[in-house]
Amino acid sequence: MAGARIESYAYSEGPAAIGAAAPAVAKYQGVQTLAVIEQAYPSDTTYARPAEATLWDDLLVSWGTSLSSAYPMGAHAGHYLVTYSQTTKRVTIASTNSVSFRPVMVGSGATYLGFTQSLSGWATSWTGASAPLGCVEMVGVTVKPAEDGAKPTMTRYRHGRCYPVGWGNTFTHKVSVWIRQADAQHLSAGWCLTGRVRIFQDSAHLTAYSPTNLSGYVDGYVVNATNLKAYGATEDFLTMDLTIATGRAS
Amino acid sequence: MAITTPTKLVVSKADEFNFTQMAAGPLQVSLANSNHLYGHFCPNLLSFSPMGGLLAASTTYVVPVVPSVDGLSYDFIYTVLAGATDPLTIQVYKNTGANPASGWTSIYGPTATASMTVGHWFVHRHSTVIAANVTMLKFVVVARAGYDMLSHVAVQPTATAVAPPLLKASGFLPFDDSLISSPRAPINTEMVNRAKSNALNVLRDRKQCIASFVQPYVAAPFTTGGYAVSTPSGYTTTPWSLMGKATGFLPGKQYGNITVYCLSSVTGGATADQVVMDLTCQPLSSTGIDSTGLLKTDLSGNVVPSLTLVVWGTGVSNPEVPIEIRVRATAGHTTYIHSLIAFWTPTGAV
Amino acid sequence: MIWDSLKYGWNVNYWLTISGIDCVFSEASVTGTPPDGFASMLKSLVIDHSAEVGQSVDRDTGMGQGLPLTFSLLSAPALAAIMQTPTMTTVLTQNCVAGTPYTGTGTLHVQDTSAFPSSGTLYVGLETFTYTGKTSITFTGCSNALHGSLASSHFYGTAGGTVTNRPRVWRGREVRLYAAPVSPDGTTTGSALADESQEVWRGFIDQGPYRDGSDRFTVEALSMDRVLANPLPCGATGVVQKYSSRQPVHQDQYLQVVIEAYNSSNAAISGYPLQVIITPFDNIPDGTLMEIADIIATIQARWDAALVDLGAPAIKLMFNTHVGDYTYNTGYFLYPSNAAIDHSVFTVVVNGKLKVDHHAMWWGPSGLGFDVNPKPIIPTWNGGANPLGGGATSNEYGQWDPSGDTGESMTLVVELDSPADAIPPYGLLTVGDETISGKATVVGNLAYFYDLRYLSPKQNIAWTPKDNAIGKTVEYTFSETSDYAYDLMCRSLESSGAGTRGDYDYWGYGDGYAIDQSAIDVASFVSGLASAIVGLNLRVGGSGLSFQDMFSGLLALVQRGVVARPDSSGRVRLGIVSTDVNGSWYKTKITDEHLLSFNSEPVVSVRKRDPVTQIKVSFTTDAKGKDSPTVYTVQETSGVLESGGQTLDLALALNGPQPSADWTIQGWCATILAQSHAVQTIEVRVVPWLDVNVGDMCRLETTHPTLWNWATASEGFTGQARCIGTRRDLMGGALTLTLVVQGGPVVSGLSPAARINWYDSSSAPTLVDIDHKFLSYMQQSISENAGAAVRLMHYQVGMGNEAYGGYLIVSAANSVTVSGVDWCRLTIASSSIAGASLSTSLNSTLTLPAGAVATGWQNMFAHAGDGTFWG
Repeated sequence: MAGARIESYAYSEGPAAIGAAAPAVAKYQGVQTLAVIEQAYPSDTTYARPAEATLWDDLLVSWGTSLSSAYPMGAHAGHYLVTYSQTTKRVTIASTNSVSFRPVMVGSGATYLGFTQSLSGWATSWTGASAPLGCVEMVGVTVKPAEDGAKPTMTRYRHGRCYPVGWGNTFTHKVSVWIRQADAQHLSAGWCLTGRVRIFQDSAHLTAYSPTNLSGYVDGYVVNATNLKAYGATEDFLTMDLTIATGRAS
Repeated sequence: MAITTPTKLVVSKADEFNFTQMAAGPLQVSLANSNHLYGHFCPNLLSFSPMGGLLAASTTYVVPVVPSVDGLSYDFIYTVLAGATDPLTIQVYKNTGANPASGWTSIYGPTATASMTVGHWFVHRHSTVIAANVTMLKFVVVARAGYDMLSHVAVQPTATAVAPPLLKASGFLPFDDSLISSPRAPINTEMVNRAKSNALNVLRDRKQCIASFVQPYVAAPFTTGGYAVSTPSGYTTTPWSLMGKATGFLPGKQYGNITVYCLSSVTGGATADQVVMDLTCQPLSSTGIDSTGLLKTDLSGNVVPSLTLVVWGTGVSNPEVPIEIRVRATAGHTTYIHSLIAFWTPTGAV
Repeated sequence: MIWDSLKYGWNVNYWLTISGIDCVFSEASVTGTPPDGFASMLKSLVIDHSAEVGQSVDRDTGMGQGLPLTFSLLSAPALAAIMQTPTMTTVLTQNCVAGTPYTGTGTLHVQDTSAFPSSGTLYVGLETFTYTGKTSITFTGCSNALHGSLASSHFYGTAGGTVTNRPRVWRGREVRLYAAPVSPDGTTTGSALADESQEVWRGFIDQGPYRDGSDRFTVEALSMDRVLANPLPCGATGVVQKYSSRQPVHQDQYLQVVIEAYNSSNAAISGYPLQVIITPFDNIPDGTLMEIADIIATIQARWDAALVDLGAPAIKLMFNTHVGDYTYNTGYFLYPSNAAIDHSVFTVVVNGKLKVDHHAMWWGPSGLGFDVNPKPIIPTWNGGANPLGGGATSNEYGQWDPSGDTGESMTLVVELDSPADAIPPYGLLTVGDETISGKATVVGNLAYFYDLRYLSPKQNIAWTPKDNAIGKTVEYTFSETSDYAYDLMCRSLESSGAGTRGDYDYWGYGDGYAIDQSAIDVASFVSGLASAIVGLNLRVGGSGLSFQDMFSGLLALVQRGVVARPDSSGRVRLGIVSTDVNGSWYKTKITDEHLLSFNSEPVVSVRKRDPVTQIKVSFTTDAKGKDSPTVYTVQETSGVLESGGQTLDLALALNGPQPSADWTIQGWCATILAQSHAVQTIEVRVVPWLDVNVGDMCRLETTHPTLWNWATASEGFTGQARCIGTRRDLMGGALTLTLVVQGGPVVSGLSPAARINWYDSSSAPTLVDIDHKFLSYMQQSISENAGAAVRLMHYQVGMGNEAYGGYLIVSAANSVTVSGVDWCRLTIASSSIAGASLSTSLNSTLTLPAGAVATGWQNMFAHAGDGTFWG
């Protein structure tokens, strides 16, 4: 995966039990559940859900693994892989053993993954119609060194229709992000601007930021976010500053 | 590493509960105290002065009992005013049913006592186990007719040390000190609760006789004397006869249950609700006792228990329970009470 | 928990309900169906300006002090329909008595329905009804107790009997505030609004709604536990009319005279026995108190009437009363035959407690084989000796011992100010300025108070008025005694007079707070108090006293409190919590990373009062709470000498002096005194997702310099803390906790012990079931051990050598349901119980292992010889 991006964490409290007996909808059902129906078993819907809040990358992997488990924990016959392509900015849900199926979007999963809400027909591979809200590509990211957040304020900042809270007894990083106009609305939707996120500076560095790894990712909680400012004559680029709080190393 | 039964209760001082390490702490003392209670709480199961005057050549008493469910050994104590030196012969039978006509098994004797001294009090004792399912005891006393007076009979649990086994039917769980005295043993909630639950279980298991009336048991008593209640024919409303009055005490104020067991015979007529035990407590009396209802028993020739009456003291320390027993006979008939025992079980606030 | 998701960008949307009003008010528009009992939802709630909401408990009074809630409702057309004075009004013509709620089958009887539509909604008091039909004087097809209102009694002829088409009364309506989750993209989750919501606050409207500014109505509401400081009204009031000696009479009391006559062959003479039976009180209400002279007159009148039916000759009926001789010659008795009477038996039977010393009968006149001159009959016994001895002039066959209690007592006859259907049969009475105890019956608007006694400690002494009682005002209220403090407390909370609020709705109208049992955590009262209080007999009364007056002393003594807080059921309920700084295992750990600072330090020390050195306990058994002379002081003598007396005054509603209570009270006082020096109260501001409520134990591990660890002489604190207050900022969710910590010696909680209920193998078990309450304890025990399995010791209670039982290694604990009952199922990784098999009949029990092999977390609990003391 090339380039800078922000990945969200999807909140989940479980239950992690999946498969035929799993409840269809979990408490606080945001985006943590994905389901499939296989053509050979059209009356069975198999759900997959992690037990706790999970990073975008790991979420896709965990769905694939859960659905691929033996029935009844997983789907009947298929082995599944859920992937995201940074170049096309699309999520693909595919059956690796050519089983015909259809994904089912649960809660806000449709927009989160970039699919339409109701899918129909059968296929062995499905690709989203639009860019997901759970992972937003950026043109560039600048991370400032950690500051001591020992006296954090409890803040509320507004984006869209949501007033999330910021907190922490932590280190904080000021992170500036630059994005294209096309991606700005995805960012404003909220998943990548609130709660816990992971901001990758580029695709070559997949380890955490540290004084000796200044290009690493910053994984923490969004404590503050400024408004988007436009740049360029056609306002094609926008920027905003985020304050990310990371836990103290004890 | 043993189940120890202290010979007397130990009261811990208040300061022993503060800032004290648990090596030999008050918890162990209170658990050992509950062992003591098991071995030394011996309320009278029976305490009666039989009527009927001087002993005949052979006198029989049949008395209902509600023994401990643990099948304890009981001390039997007979107090006799001797009129002759001839020893008595005593035999005790048990019955597990309600009908005194049959089902008797000997559990003691016949045993001859020592010789007595004329004009002096004489006491004979023995210890015998009473099984949990025993409902009646029969005492047969053989004496030289017309000389001796059996003044009192008492039956109470034998004081003993607690010995395994172990888990008692009454719910008592003996305390073995091997865990609490081992190094860094856990001091847990079960131990703390056990002291209290042991005490309650022992108290509730051992019924106490609080009122008694016993006369010689004869199969056809009506022509041979003894205290009986008759009602001439022609009465449309049969009157009550006051048989006796007693006063019980509830030291330290408690709740409790009273149940009356009655063994009686009639020549005929109605047999239901013909014996009434009234605590003369309605309305609330100045002695601070409250209760609900009367106890009534039937007269069927078998041992009949009454309903259980809940009695409680209301805010007065050491309240009294005045008890009156009334009997009646259907018009034209006679009622004979063989024996009547009221048992008390402490219950209440836990 | 709803607050956990805040970390991941979620937020909350608040909504609330007002009982009796069919509308759910929310901050933002919500998806999902409305909760049960409500049909419409309105996006008009504004709570931005509310101060923090929360609960706290005062350790010195044991009373919860919930913070108030102020909210506004923005104007909207739907709201205008509710915010209007009633346009249609009528009144009840029959009492509407609370009972089981009904749907579509009730009828309300009113004066005039003409102004009302043919179907609609009615408001009576705080209760909401709907009706589907009407006649000119009734509403039919009614459903009651709608929209969260409770079935209540409404009495005609009072202001509460007004029936309107709009809410007439707002004060007292219950307000319940909930938080619903909102995902980061702004959607609300859950198909029904109530499914994923958490109740945050519960209380009653105190002021409003009033117009506030140009666009909204504002309402101020007080927390549910604040109502417990409201005094309860008085029972009955009146004026004394008479004061005299009376006895209760009963309809089944009878006087029976029987004459038997036998010839010399002991055969009954034909026509005998003769009987006269009268039941003189059979047309008087049972239990009526009558003066002695009236009783005698009634008996004599009835006797005369019975004899008149029979005719001549003379049988005299005499009563000797305690006020002096009283002789009355009555009518005559006809005898059927003058055949030779050899002997006769003459019997008089009286049942019932007539206060008569004795009664005697004389035969009359001549010509009948009897003596001419009236003289006492000597009755003969039916064979055998007369147990009363020969020569007795009266046959006391069946008579009560007149020297015993016969039920007579001096009685106050009081004319009540307003008729009462029933008043409590036993209670506290204020006559003029004296307060006494007594029993009561009521006939019409006259109340009879008898068995009047001084209050403790003179409760054995019958009361006599210090001056003329006639004309004095009387206030009477119920009083109740019990050994069970939780019983009295729950009755005080629930009683409504109609018996509909729950199992403890027992007292009369106005004697309790009429709180529905669904708002009370009854189990916490039973378990929280039953173990704390043993052997105290309490007496409480209602007039002018509040729950706080009655119980705060007791709660403070045993270190408990009553507070309205969210509990394990997810609702806000009144429950008993412990305020003792010592406790067993903790629910939540608070560390540095949870602390927040917001214009202030995150940890603030609250100035504690000076250590208590003496406790004065007084017993209040009178209705007005006046000090009784019995005051009981426990002192820490050295403390008083050195630092002066800091007194804690506690008033206990004890029912008289109870020697057995002394030990209990002393013990509790000693605990308070011992702890008082080292206890510190701090406020800690923390993140919203800590699951802490009032009464919970937490573990505080912080390096914050505000705290000083006395045990180790260093900054910071590591140890247990009891939460006695929570305040939540509604907008951000930040929590401020008030914690009590033990600064002094190290205290450990008792090790838990769990009886084994089921196992899959007695010698090599892999699964063992124990009580469900240990589930979170076991899970925490394992997670504190970094997920590794923990060891539990096995022993058999009461089976001798309790150290012999081996151990089990537990790797997991899960909840299972077997036949509808929940259990905690332990997964056993390995076991070593060498010879001692698991057995439920032999009381196999699991507890913590000895200190040497216990984990660090397990060693926090009390072990023998570890240098701590346990609490």
